Amino acid sequence: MATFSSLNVILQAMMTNQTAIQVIEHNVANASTPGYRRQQAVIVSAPPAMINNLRASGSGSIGSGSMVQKIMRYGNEFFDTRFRKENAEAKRYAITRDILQQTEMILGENTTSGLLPTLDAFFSSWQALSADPSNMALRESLRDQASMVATAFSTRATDIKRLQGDQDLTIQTRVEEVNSLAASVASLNSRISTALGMGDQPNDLMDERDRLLDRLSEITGATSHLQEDGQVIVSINGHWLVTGTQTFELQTYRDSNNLLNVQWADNPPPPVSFSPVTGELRGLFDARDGVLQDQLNRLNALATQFITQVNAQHQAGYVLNGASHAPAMFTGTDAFSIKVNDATPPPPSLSDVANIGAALTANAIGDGTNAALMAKLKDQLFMSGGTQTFNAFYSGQVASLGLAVRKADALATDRKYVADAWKTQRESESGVNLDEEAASLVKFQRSYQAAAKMITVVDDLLDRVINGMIR
Amino acid sequence: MRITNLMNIDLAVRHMEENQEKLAALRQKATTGKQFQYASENPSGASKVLELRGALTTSQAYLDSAHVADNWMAATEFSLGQMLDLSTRALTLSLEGLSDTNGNSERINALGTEIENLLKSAVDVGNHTHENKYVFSGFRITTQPFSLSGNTVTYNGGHNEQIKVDIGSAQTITTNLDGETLFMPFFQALGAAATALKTVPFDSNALGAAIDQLQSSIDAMKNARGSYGTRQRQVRTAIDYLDKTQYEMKKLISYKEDVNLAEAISYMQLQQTTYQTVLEVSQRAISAANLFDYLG
Repeated sequence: MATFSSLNVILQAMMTNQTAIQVIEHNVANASTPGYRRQQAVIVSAPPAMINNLRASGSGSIGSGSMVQKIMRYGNEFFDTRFRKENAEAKRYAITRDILQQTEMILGENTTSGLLPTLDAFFSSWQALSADPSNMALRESLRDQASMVATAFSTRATDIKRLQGDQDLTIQTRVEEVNSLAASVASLNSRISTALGMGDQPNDLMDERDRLLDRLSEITGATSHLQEDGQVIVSINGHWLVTGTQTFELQTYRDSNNLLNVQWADNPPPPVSFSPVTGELRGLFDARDGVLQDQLNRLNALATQFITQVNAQHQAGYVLNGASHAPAMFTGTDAFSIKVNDATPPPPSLSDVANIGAALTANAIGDGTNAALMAKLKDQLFMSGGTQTFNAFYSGQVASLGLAVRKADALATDRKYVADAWKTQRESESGVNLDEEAASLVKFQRSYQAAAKMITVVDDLLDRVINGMIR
Repeated sequence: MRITNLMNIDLAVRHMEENQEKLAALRQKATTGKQFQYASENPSGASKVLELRGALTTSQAYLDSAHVADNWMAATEFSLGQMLDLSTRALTLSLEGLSDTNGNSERINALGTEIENLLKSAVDVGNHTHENKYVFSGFRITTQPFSLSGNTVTYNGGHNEQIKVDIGSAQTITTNLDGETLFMPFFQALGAAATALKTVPFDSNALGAAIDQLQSSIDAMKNARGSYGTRQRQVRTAIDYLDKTQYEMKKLISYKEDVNLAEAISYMQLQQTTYQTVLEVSQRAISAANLFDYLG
């Protein structure tokens, strides 16, 4: 009896070691799989058998070998939460930075084709005309300069508007991704809780779910809470995204600016507004609806004031050697619609450069007084409630965009360092170290070999009993 | 801390990326010669440079205007000088006419005719143009200011019109001289002198009155020339000043935005060395053997 039970103990040992080796194989195979958490076979001694003492009085227990109690998964929810929080912030600022950097590049204010140099050149043309008002070449050049100002305004406005529109695609794909991630998390929730209920350890399913949660937090700043049954509740700024196996979908809609926005497709309606506090979507909204919209508003304010003041002063002037007042210089009301008034006459327009009003006296061909006054508009405080010149106002705008890029960049870099630190902590805790695995492998290999050797010994014993004792 | 294989690789990649980024930024500085391409790289510096460039453009515009004004004024001054030369000759001839040694025929044929010719020349001078613009007709630069019929001159230009040019944000200069107030008394005096010389019998009182008139008109022209010279000097000073400030501004812009190349290249070299070190170390970290390599 005892000899046969030895065989069982040894077999158990061989199987235990084999399982442990399989776990090592799994670890080694996934050494560089992103999001993989190392696993370990937790080996315990098997419950002892109670036996009656054959030789003496009393009874005792005898060990029945080893067994794998469970396959453990390394991980620390604290590291996950911290990492996801910082990573969401890093992604938030990174996307803001990227969009704003593009804006800065497109506007190119630091080049000679910036709006400021163009405005400067426009006013300088007036200055030149004031000294030589009957010079037709100067008048032509002034009209060209005016049309460059109009183009500079309108291309900028259109570019900013287009950059805002370009974000629609990102928003659409992100929303679809979030919905699909949420559905996957819900399905994993169900499989994980079922497996746990059956006493299994669904380690790889949990890895998969953690990967999805990492991505969800990156996009929306979603936070998750692990429940006792192994399911997670995911929420974005207080609104459930996944609870158990139920998901709440996001949907996109066009707002009054014809830009794509996001809301919860709640059941029952009406939809609830979606306002993530961090993550890529927050960063995208910050850039598009915050900085870009502000830039656009200020550009429009500048254009409107510029058109009004330039036209008013220009219309006070007289056409070349004539008694009629000059026509408006620009048509339109904002940065999108500004255009040089050079329509085919009638009524009089700048299509004839003699209609440029350089004189402040009627019939005075040599009078450049109004041109000098036009040039002086540059120094007048028209903007910000009469505290800034056109140039100072726009130069402030350029600097504020630069500062916004700089701020987003600094925050993105800082948050990324912190996120990386948490990622390192997490990896340190749950990543695979090949040396460790190699050492463990040797350990279990040796145990396995020893167990195999034991089989031979027991076999010898049985051979003696079965073949050696009977004649 | 427990170090895993993935950490080694991640860390190596991160360090290489960071170094590449720094290296790229330094390379851009060295190749463009600019401290920054975008305002975000140096918001305060960039806005200062934008401001300076604006000021530079404005100052260039003033400088151009000042040069235009200077040329115009030089032409005006030249005409005025010629006019004064004529006036000296006219005064001499008229005074000669007073002398009793002259007979009627000399007065009429020699002196009177010459003064008439002087009047013609003077009107021509008054009708001088600069770049096809009459300098003495106010704003009506396309209208010939003086026309002569007999010994009478008529003024056709603008009355009391001042052509003003800005040569600085707060400096405006009147570039023209009013032909009417400046020359008409002189022309009238010349006409009167010619008439007096040609009138028989000779009336010395009439010629004397014409000479007085001539003298006072010459004095007025001389005074005008003096004050006009002051104005011209103002323009020249403004040109000098604008030239100097432009130079200063260019220097300042360069100081703000241009890279010290020696410095940039040294930093780049340093970063390159760092990068090579990172590559070397990373290569070792990534390709380091693990225990598996030594198991039999």
